[in-house]
Parts: sequence; C-alpha cells; structure tokens
Amino acid sequence: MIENIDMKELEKKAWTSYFQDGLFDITIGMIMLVAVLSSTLDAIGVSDEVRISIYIPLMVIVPPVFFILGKRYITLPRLGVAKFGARRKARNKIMIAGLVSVQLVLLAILILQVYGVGLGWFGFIIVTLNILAVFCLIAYLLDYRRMYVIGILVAASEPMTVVLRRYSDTVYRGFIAYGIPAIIILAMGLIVLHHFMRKYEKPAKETPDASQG
Amino acid sequence: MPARDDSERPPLMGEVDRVIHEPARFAIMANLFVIESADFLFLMRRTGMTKGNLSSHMRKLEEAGYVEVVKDFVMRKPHTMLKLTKKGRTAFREYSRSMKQVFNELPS
Repeated sequence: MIENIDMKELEKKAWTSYFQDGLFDITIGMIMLVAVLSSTLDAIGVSDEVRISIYIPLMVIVPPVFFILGKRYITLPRLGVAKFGARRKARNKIMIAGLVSVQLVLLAILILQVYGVGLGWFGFIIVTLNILAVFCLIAYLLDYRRMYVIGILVAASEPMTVVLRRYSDTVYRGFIAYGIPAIIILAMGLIVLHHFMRKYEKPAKETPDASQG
Repeated sequence: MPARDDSERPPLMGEVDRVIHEPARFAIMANLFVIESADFLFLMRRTGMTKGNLSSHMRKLEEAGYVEVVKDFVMRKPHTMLKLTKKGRTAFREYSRSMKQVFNELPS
C-alpha cells in the first residue's frame, strides 16, 4: 500500500474537499449581483452618495455572512472539521493580504470617481488586472482550479462595461456586463452545492467522540 | 567475514509495525499525518469507513499511543479533534521507511 500512496496528493484532496461545497462561488456571484444593483441604481439616476451608502454595506455584510453561515450550517456538519499544517496557514495569510489589498485599491478608485477624479483607461486597466491577479492568486494558493474560470468571468465584466458604454446606448449595460457573469458563477456554485449536499448527507445524529470508542 | 550490522539489513515482515500495517489503520494514520488534526466525521469522509469501524480502529491506535483526542474550538464552540501523537508520527515515518526498504530490496 505504501508504495503507491502519494502523501502530497492525499493532503491536497483533504484540503480541496472544503471547496466542493460551492459556497465560495455563490458568495462571489452575490458580490457581483450587488455590483449589478449599484450599476442599475446609477442607470436610473440615483446619486452616487446614496448608491454607495447602499452598495458598500450590502457588499461588506451580505456575502461574508452568507459564506460564514453556509460553512457553519452546511459544510461542517456534512464534511467535518480538519485543521491543516503551517504551509496551508501561511498560504491563507498571503491570500487574505492579497484580498485586502485589492479591496483597498478598488475602494480608492471608487472614492476618486465619487469626487470626480476619473482615471480613464488607466483606472479601468488597473481594476481589470487587479481582479485577474487576485483570483489567480487565490486559485493558485488554495489549489482551487474553478477560481481561474471565476476570475476570468469577473475580470471580463470591466472591459465589457467599457465596450457597451462605447458602442451601445442601453442603460442595462451594468446588468449585461456584471449580471451575466454573476448568474453563470451563481449557477456554477449552486450546482456544485447541490452535488455536495447529495454526496455528503448530514449524519442522522452526533458522531461519537473517539474517546468513547 | 565481519558480521552485518543489524541496522543496515532490511526489516523482516515480522518486524513491520502491525498496528499501522492494517489497511484501515494505515488510511487513518496517513490522513492524520498530512494534517494537523481532524474530527471523527472528517476522518469518516476521508477514509470511507463507517462509524463503528472507524471507532474500533481508532481505539487500537489510541491504545498504541499513536492518536490522541484533543479538545479544540471550532467557530467558538468546543469540538473533539483527533491528532497523531509525536510517537504516532515517528511510528508512521518509521513504518513508511521500513516498507520502502522492503520493496527496494525486492529482486528484479
């Protein structure tokens, strides 16, 4: 048995089992839907101050709360709990630092736009590359392949907005640019979640402690 | 002719750690070896064993001093976790080394 077991692969499988629940995908889809709402509010003429006062709390509260509750009440009771070694913890820290930095950059660009400082093409390129870089970083550090696809879908929203603004008069460009990728990502997450819940049914009652034998 | 040093010779099958050699217990040990700790349910999922089966093998590993039960907090709630002891990690490494040596010594 020992001669054909790959311990690295075993660790990787244990780790990636936590991403079989689709919650990450759904959370990102939700974040994008909030962006759609923001864009729609903009299209119907709601002022930037009001729009941001709705957009920011929704963005900051709803998706993370959904993710945490989902992990607590869907994933952990079905999959159980595991704590990983120092290598995974270090990778998580790098990932969190990356996420925080991109949020700060995006927030800075948003604030500049509110105060009328448009960065034009430069701002657009920064946003797109930032999104792509962060998703690739997450995918790589978490060994989470689906995140590359999500990253491309999310990053594509920005150039699509610019193209639609330039070549179309539609007021629904926000919905088209962010809404379609958001729906694809959400659907992907829901399918994965459905498979996860079918594969791992909730145990009928408490599993015994090992000490009880 | 000088006598061969015992530490250099490949282990005999009788000397291989029988506690770990059983496939189910090997699966438990291997899964716990690559992580820090896990609860009972996670090990059930990873090994594909039933509750009763896992409990019985876990008891043998505990008796051998290879696995210990630790109380931890998960999402601020106390949770029972299982982890390899230092003795368990050493035994698994030793077992792995012995088995590799056994297979390496096979005539081609």
